Amino acid sequence: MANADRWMSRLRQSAAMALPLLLFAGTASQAQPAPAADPMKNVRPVTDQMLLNPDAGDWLMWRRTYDGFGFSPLDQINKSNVANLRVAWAWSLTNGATESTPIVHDGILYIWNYADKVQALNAATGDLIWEYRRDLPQTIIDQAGNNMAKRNMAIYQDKLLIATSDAHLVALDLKTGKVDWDHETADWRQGWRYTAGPFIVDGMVLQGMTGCGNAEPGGCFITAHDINTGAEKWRVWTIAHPGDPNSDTWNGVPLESRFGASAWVAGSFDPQQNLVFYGVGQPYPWIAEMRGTLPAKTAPGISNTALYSDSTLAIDPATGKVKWYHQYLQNDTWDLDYVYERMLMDLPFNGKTRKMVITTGKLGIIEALDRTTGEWLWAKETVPQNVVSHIDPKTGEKTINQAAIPHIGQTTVNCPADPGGRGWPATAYNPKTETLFLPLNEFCSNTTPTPLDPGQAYTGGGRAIFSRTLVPHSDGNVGRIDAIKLSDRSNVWSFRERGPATGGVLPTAGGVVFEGGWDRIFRAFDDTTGKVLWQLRTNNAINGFPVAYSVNGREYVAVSVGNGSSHAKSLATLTPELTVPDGGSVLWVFALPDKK
Amino acid sequence: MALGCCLSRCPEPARYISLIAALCAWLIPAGGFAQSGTPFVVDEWRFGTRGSTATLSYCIDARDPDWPVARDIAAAVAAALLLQPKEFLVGDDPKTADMSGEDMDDTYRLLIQHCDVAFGFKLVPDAYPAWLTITRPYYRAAYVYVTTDTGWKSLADMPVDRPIGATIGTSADMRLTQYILAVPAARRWDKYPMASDEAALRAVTTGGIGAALVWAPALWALRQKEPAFVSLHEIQPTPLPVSTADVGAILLSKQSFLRSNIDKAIASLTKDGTIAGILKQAGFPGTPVP
Repeated sequence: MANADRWMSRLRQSAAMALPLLLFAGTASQAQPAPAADPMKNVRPVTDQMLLNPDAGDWLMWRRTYDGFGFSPLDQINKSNVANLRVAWAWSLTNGATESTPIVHDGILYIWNYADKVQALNAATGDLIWEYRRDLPQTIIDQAGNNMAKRNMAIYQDKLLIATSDAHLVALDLKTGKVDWDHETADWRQGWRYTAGPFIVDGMVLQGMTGCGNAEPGGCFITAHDINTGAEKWRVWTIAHPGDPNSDTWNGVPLESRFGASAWVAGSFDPQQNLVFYGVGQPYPWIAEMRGTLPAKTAPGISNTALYSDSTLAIDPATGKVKWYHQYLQNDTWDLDYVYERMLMDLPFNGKTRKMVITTGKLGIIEALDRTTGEWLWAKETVPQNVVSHIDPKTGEKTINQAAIPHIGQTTVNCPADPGGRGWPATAYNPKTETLFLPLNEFCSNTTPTPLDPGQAYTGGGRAIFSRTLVPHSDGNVGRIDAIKLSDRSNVWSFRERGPATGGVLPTAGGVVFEGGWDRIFRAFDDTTGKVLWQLRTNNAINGFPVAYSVNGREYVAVSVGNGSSHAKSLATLTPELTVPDGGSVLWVFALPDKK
Repeated sequence: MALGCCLSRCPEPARYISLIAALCAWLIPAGGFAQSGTPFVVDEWRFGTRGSTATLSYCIDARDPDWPVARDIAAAVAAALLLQPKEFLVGDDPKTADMSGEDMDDTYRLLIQHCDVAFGFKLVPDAYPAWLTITRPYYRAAYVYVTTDTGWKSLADMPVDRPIGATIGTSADMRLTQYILAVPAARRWDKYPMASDEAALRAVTTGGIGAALVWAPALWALRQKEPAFVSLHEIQPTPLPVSTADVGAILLSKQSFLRSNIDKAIASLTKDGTIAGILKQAGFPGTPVP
């Protein structure tokens, strides 16, 4: 008995001590979201139909839908309640340039980390489900820089498709992250690389190549790959090769001396016409006198427009045949890409509804084409620029300001310059209000072509020094968000800020537009007035693409932040007083307070 | 050796010791910490100071055609400073340089991670960011025109319908471009931008171009591994002048004291004939810069 009493006494003492701990533990565990039994259980294979008409709560591709709008139909977070937005959860990412767009499907969020790490997270709680890490060559890791950032991934069937920093395409199993297939598209040792990700069309993986500089004469290309094996099905060269009817547009320079024309942004798709639209970047080197396309030859049949740089290519995805092209900027000599997102919309023009493809290049000029024929329709300028002095209202042909053309041995002023009046952070379009939202920056550059041959290993570079300055008579503001109603091309509002605009924009059906920049502030605007309805200062530069999604009826807004992007760093030279931490890449996820 | 000799001749031994001590002290903080305006490096805190005060850590880039010569000169500089040489050989992938414009960031990483000084950089005005400084040159070399046509003595002998292949972006390429822009169209050669000196030499051997404009040290290096280049013959650049470039080493700008001493070492090695001897022994197409 005595032993039993002592045992009971100890038990009571232990229980008395343990009870508060258990209560505390219970409290603590209640503070955690209830773990899902198996968050992957309900994940469905992604079908063509889902890509064509995604669930409102999903974000299945870079700009969410094939038309490239980057618009979310969710409206739980709206003008009346966005002021209550709170952090739902956050997730540390690998430090480095963070330009990611999450993919969200059936409650799972897939995120790219700098240096080729991909994670699947529970989109409601932020819990890690699986992680894929690529074993990159040490040389690539040592080079670091922008090249290990990727702007997008793709999802199809049971696969997550990624483009890697060593120029492979890889299919990961959606539910486990295990490699399904791995296809080497090009040799990274030759300088080829990917900074954008795949785009799924008609069950194929489409991918644009970049890094087509010194070591890769003949320019870049867009390839299509088999979804089950990665095998290449077709290739479209972005520089006209011999045999191409536009091969004689390089001022007589042979193919092995033609460089550039990177396809470094994902495409758009018009399922009705079965046409894919890709943008193409500028020719290399940036200075035309250095790449041999100036002075212009007078020989018959030869021009110096440098096709297909700075163009839209309309491609038949079944064959890879280019149906039509349109070049926005001939013989680019400033690094003023026209490579960015192509938006597909039907809008009135001269009394008729036209099927349009609309894009905005680094000049900040919005341009519309007929997406069936490639006919140029209209243009609208945004930021101050001095490169184009006139645009023919019928043909779109641009008259170039000769004073803005860089020449060897001279310094010239051009506005904007290399990071662009708009850069890769994407514009977005609200089809309900027919309004385009653009992240813009106002600046100029004193541009000096310079021999950059310091060491044999460092013979790359843009072959010019860009000394960036504010625009003449500037009020000091660099960043700018414009809202423009595309149906009549009227200015709706313009928000200006000191900090450069370095993130993509996200309009939603809730009537708000999210945007962030170098000053680390993530904002929500009223989409009709431009009034700031909510803002939060994050830990680092906002340099990714915000997305909206929902899980179990709750809407979330996610955006990744981090330092290291060359685009943001270039613009930051204009605002030296705005500093950001060198580490701390994070995925921020916001939601309204949970009423439960 | 040379600077050591110079210092040993100084009348004040204490001054000699203090100079070496100051040099060593300056080497201590040579590792990585962020300077204003320096390139962004992920997790720069990983790169600490190099501990040894008796060592000159230097980078030699194996992608440079002159790297065997640079290696000998760097070792001579270390010896002149009475420091232990510690070499870091860069670049086993010869074609990883691209045109992204971020190449100098790579240099910054080298300088905070591996070496106090990196050899093999041309003295190009305004080509370097403010966080870099460059030493006085240790040799001067020329850009040369080479051709397969033995009948041509100078560029002026080459018909204008034969194109020139010039390695992109060199100062000689820019000079040629300016000349082409200045003359009437009927007197212009076509100029093809070439991805590398090797590509230019290959194009001239296959007849795609009439002449190649390349960096003489690159021609020297490539001839050692490609027999087809040996028979190419150099022609005078007339009507253009000879284009030359001076080659030195780079350091972080904050390393002003070390830079000053390396400059003195190079001057001394130039004066006593050490550098001339290294160049001559290698059969290298360069000359010391007085």
